[in-house]
Amino acid sequence: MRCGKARKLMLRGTESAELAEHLAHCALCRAERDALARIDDLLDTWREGEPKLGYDALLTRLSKRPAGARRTPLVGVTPRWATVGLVAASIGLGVVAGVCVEQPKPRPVPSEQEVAVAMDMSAFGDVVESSVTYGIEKGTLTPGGVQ
Amino acid sequence: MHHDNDAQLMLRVAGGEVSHFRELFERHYSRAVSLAYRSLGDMDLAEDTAMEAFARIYESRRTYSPKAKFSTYLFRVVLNLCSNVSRRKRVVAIDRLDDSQMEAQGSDPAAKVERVATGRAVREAVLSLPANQRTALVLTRYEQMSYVEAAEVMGVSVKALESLLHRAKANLRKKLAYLLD
Repeated sequence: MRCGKARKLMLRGTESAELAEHLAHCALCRAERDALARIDDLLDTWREGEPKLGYDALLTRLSKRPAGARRTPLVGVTPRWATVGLVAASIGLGVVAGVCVEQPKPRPVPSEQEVAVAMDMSAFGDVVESSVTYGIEKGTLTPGGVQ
Repeated sequence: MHHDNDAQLMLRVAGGEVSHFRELFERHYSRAVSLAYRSLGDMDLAEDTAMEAFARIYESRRTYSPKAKFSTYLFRVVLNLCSNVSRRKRVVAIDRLDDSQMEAQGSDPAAKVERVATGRAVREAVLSLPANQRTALVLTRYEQMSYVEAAEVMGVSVKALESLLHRAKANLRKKLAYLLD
């Protein structure tokens, strides 16, 4: 048996004739076994107390909680690195989309000629004429000029 | 799909027979507190965390699906909450006197002081381990779980668990070298 396998068995606390034979010949693994046993003894010195609360405390806790409160999932919470990655990917996608999608060109201001056509007038002169006529009727213009 | 007795009870709770939740609580509360205590190092915080785990499991009972043993599910919830608590607190108050260290053991005051000091040193060493190494150690050493069960709770392979344990013990050897001589 190799030392690696022997240490794995010792870590698990497995006893076997093969391991015993290895330990009889390997001083390093014996030292490892003794150190592991000592660590186990030390771990036993950390004691814990008895719980003080019972089921009634759970009922009290539940009664104080708002119904339907939003909580984090019980298991499988998204790790922080995944959240950061998701945000970075979203920003990247946004930038790429912004570059690739063609921006709409601003529409040119129509000329007076085009406005006249759209208003069903034959020429620019009609626009002026109509405006003047409209002004006279409203009393803001006189046939001779601006009042 | 596992159909252990606890899972059957939880399914009945999910189906509306909520009084069975008391039985689940009484079967597993002590172990949940123990696991939280070994992860956080503070008994009051551990009880609060274990209680919160039961409260959340109760609240989400309608969506319960027995994909693993109930105890595996419970321990995952407890460890997840412990992880959140540790992240918020960052530093566990090592210096705070812990009631569990104050119990009388024997009548020799000097020996008692030494035991308490050793226990605190071990507690500090275990709590200072990286979280996954600490959890592997706590589940297998203190909670007496099999490697298969501990690996399932942690969501890792048995091989990865063995590696974590190996590193945890190597770290403890370094941290507690002065007590090993």
